[in-house]
Amino acid sequence: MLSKNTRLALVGLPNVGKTTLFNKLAGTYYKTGNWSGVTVKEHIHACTVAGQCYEVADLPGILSVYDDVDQLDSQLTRQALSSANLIVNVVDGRFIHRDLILTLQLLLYQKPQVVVLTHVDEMVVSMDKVCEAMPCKVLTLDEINLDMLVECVGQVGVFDFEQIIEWPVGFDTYWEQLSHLSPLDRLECLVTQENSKDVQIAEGFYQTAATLIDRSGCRQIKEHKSSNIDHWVLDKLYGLPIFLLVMYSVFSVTIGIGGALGDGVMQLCIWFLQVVPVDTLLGVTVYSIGTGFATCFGFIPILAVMYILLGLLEQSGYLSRVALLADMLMKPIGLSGHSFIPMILGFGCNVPAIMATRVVAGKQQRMLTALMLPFMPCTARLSIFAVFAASFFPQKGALIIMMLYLMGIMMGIGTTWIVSYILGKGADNYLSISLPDYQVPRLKDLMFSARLKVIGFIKKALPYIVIFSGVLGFLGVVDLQLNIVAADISILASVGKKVAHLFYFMGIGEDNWQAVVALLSGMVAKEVVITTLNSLYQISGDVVGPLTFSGIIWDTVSNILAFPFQMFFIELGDMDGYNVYQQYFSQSAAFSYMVFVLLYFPCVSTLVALQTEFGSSIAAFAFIWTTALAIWVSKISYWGFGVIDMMLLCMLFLCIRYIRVRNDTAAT
Amino acid sequence: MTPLRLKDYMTQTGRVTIDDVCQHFHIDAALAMQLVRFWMHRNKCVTEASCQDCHVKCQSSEYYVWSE
Repeated sequence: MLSKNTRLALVGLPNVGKTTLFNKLAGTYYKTGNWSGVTVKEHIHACTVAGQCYEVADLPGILSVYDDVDQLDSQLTRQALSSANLIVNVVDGRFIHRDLILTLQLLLYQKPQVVVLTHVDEMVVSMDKVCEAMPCKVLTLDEINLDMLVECVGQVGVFDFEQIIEWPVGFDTYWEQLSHLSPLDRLECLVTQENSKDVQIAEGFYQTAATLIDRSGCRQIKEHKSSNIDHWVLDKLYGLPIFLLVMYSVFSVTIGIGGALGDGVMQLCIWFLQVVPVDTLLGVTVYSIGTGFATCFGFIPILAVMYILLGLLEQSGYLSRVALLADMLMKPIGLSGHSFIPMILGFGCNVPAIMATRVVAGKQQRMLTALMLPFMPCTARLSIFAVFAASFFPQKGALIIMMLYLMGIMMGIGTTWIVSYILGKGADNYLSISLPDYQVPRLKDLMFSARLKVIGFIKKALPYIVIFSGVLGFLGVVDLQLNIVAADISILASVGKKVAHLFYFMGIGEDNWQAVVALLSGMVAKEVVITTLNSLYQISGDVVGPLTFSGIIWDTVSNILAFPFQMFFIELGDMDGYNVYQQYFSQSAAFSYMVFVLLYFPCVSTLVALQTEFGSSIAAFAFIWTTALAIWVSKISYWGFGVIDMMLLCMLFLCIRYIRVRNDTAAT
Repeated sequence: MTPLRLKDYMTQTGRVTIDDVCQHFHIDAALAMQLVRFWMHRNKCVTEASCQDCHVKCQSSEYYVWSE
């Protein structure tokens, strides 16, 4: 008799296509990628078929049912397997021999098991022979659907594990001694006892897999297609410059084409807003909210272009190579290339990146990786950089943005180095990923994935933007008696001017109180910094003007058409919508502002994610450290490196050294 | 192909690349990498710098050395 909710657990090695299968079965659109470790938490889809409730669970990939016990994603998968009614083992058709070892281990759970083959068109063995070799029911990704799986729940029986396993000579005795336990408990007992038998257990699984493959008569080896490209992109000499060139191209196209389109969209929105009267309290509030919307919509093309390009790199298989390349950079700070994958995800949003640290083995390494992530410039920060770069550095905007990205990475690595130096050497960490073959990304998938991410961004940002734009717009035109007054003597201005003194270190004075208010609003979510700035500058009377529909369209089209020629001269299109910024910032103050935005206080969501995954002390440390660093570095960016900075640097080194020596003394 | 056979091969040969393992046992790179990973996980195998005549930082030309 089935339980009320029948659970179907999708399990397999990393990067075999579990989430692709899950999306097909559940009709969902969870992130898939051509690399290991895309899924780090369980996805559940509940459905009802013929009156019976089912739960399909997409689980993080595992290498073995008894290794990697300290990895959170592996623990989660094992827990979920224990409660499953049907194990759906996803096997990469290209690497059946490798995946068969996990298939055999899963038989220990003594649950009905179905094997689903992916990449069937690239298989080097025939389907019939695979069916003979696999000790389970075999289906392919193309033919499978939810109804077929549901049918399997009742039809597929439990395969007798003892019938096929070939233990090494002498090991049978140990296995038989524990016959009162279930096979899984026996395995766990033998692995955890003092004189571990894990090598003999593995020997049994590998030998059985080899026998099954031999029995199928197929020993054809799949050729590795990627070696020629890898020769260049993984070269120790050229690999890093190629990566920098690729990223530079991504930023150039993002800011060049995305920026021009975004500027056009924003100006169109403001053109529509010109009909709103701004001489009443309601009118000003509506206008401010409208400006917020306009800015938010202006980000859409920038983000869409960025997501499409990053998706291109990811799906092609290049990002996995970058992880291997980054292994060289990570080793000196006690991390491996695995930590680079969350960093790349951090370029989208820091929150999923913090969750992605679950693929990193070892508690200390996970924590060190997470401490790097608040410095990774997310897309919300990119929108700020795009506006400032186009306004203040039209000749070298892409270069400035790339420099900021590199600065973020260096600050993250520096922070990790300091913490790892203080804590001492953790467990040995090594990178062992299977490099996926290069593949041509499908435009449909890229567009679809980018659309989902942009919608996600809008959903997250819009509520903040509406609230902040409305409230700030209102406070920006009233005094304490709620009378409409000039923006300069409004409630917001008087508060902003008082706080603005504190930001003198980065070239912001009382006359630019709007920038300070924007920074404070950005503590909630970085998405609102530019919308706040736009709202406040617009209500201060600096409306971009006078706009005409044909003028906006002409500017946008000409900027996009000019981009291919400008790209090689590193020149960005003229983003008229943001020219108002030049009245408030000098060029050095604008750069300093960008640096501060890059480094200061991670948004509330990031802090909550850090607190949830690593505890309050780590979240508090990230809060204090990032803000302190932001103040210092942005001060240096504006005023230059002086004697006081040298003294501070020396003090920092002495403090670090003192703590390390104290820790060493305590340890000995 | 099993972990102990790889161990024997590595201890006899000194240091091996993934390509060497593939050719010697006639298996694909994915399985070879999984076996090497098995021993690395148990701190019995470490990586060395790439082959002397090659600057490529890839798994196929990286040396794996038995360390016990």
